Amino acid sequence: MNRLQKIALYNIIVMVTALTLTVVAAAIAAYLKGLSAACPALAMLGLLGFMGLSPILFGGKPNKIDFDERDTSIQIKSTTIAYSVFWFLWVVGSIITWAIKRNSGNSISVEVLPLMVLAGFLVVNFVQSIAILISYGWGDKNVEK
Amino acid sequence: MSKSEEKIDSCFRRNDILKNQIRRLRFERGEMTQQELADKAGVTRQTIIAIEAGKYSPSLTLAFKIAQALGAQIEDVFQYEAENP
Repeated sequence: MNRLQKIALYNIIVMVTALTLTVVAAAIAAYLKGLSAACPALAMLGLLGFMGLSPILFGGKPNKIDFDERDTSIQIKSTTIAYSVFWFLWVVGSIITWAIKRNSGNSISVEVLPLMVLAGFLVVNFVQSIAILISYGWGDKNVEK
Repeated sequence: MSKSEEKIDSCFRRNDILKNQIRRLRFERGEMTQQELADKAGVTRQTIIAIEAGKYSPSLTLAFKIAQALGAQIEDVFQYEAENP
């Protein structure tokens, strides 16, 4: 497993852990104090800050080649896929919301904004990480014994 | 290559086939390992594995580096075949 794969796997673990903790915390907070969903969403963005530690945790070793043109190509592909999926979900989500809400006379709460930022961040990073892991394949099938 | 890998790859790659003789040439050059070739060409071992297996088409620069590392001409290492001639 190379550096990019390790970072992708680490990011997935951080995102899943943060999401689980936030859902539990949000449920408890909503039950006890009736907090809005925006507060746990902002707290989760804070937890996702652990993703920023990946360059420190998986830093390259000096005098060792651990990133080349194929890694760059995979990184570009996975980023393109991630933003394409994000844009698709964004458009679909916006149209569905508009279709449901347009005749009701309601407006969207400002509390939704932090959730939108969180959802966008999660979609882009999660899809990118999965695409990286798939692009490399699971395991080295042509490794010399 | 798994179906999901193929799907991702097909979104970005043309249907060109780049055959290579890297494995044969490595063994003819004193059983050079994938790691030794990777070090000489300045890439990771994973990239050499992917090129050998035909999963990744290297850039022209890298193709020349690999040929140089194997002490061969580029056309002896890589052969292009159009899928639908």
